[in-house]
Amino acid sequence: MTGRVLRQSVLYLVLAAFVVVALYPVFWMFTCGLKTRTEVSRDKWGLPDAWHWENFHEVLYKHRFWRYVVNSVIVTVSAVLLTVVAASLAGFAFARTRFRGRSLLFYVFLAGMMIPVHIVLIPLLKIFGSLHLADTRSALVMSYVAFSLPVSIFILRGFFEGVPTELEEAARIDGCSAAGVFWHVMLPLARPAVAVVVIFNFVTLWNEFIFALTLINTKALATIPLGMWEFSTEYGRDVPLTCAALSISILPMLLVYVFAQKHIIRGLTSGALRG
Amino acid sequence: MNRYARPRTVWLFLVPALAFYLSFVALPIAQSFYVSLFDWPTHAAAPARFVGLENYARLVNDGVFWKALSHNVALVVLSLVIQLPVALFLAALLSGRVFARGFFRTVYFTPMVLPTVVIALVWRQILLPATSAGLLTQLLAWLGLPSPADGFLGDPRFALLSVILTISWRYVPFHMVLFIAGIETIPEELYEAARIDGANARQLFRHITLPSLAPVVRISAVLSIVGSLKYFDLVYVMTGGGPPEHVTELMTTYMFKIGIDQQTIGYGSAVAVAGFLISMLVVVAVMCFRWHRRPAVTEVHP
Repeated sequence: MTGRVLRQSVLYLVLAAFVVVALYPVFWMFTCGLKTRTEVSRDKWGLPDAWHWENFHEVLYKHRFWRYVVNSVIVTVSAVLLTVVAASLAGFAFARTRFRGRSLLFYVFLAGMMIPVHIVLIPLLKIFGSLHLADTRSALVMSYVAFSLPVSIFILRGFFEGVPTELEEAARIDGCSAAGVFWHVMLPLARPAVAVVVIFNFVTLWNEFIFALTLINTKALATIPLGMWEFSTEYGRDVPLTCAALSISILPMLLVYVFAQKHIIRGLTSGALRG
Repeated sequence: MNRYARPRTVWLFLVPALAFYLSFVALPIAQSFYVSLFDWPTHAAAPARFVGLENYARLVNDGVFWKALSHNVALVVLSLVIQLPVALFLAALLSGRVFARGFFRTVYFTPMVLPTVVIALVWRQILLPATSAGLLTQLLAWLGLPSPADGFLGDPRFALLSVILTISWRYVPFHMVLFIAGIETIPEELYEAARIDGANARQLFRHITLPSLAPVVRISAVLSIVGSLKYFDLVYVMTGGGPPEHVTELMTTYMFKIGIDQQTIGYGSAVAVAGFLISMLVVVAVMCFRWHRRPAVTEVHP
């Protein structure tokens, strides 16, 4: 009996310790944002004496913060939408039609999951330059779509392959074309797989950094991660102000995560498990 | 399977994806190979000079690149050694009968939804030297333990390890969730049968959980290896590859410095191509290893 109690207490102690490890950095960042500069330099670990919301207020109203949010929303939403359209069409073709070079082409897409993005950065700058899209959100969107496609096609193809062919054949007999089958039969069925693709890409792209760092120079076009990087190089000496900015910047995603944690956890990991 | 779809229709389905993929993935890769064969002047006015493999000859003799590669190897090895066991440990803890399991899983997973930039900036504060009131140094001082005078990121002995531990902090929960999902697919009957035979908890883990998890562990390992070879974000923001002497330089941060920051695009492309080829070589090697004894892949339906 005492052995059981002891084992249980050790278990929960360990679990609690890992809660601290996982959350303390975020918690500290938030409380640090509530302190004044003098308080932070005096006492870094402690809780704030009083809650000074001034830093948060300053970030929200005196800096470019809202621009970053708007940019992130525009870029992420457009990229996810385009990805879903292109990937579900291609996933359907790979799963349900036969054509010469099908598996080769599929592997070409699949390889995209393994490609280090650094190999494309220098040429992309040139390509977008010649398209007159240098330093624009469109350039960022197009790169995001291109790099989101492989895993998205992979997930959707896997789903379409699992749909019983009888459904499709029934629709065919009723006179549906390939496009009709896709639109009226497959796409409605694929809603759960589309949800996974949307969540995976949304979270990944919302937090994306390298492409934004490379392709965007104008500060007013920065997404949230790039904006935070620039904010920290500019105001990094003001630790509480930076902490407040970082805290606000993660708030939208944290809120979504709190309400949809099951879907997000599954969305971010099920692509991997299908490998 | 589909007798009815005409070839033309099939291509219509593929065109949008192909257009994006060819223009912004395939074409740039080919261009990188091409660009790496030239010496490009920093000012656009002068023409590029064909130099053949000169950039690669320079690469082979570039100590910094080899150093960066060795750091990538360290990242691969330490990620496997640190992340997978910790993730397995947490997954095992959370797979038993645990009160508020979902809560713990959700909390542990939080680092995975945060932007790497934010993680890097916060951990930089934690790892600062005592003179700048670093959190960890203060904690160690309170415990009566020494810490490096220049902070964990400023000291060449600790910088790389600190960065790798921060990376692990972010990615452990990812592997943990994969393992939990894997454990959930193990049929309960296996455990029951073993319990009837008198197996204890440790034996159950050793002889049922671990072997059944092998395919998932292999997936985790592949993802971890591939990810470590192309890693960039946290290192770039936390140290920029420094402190000065390239102590935490990775292939990607080095490429970024040369090709993007300094605009030396010929040599920068050579570094990028080398990193690409090394990554792909490892991917192919790992995949072949996997195909040799193909596991029953865990399918998690969305």
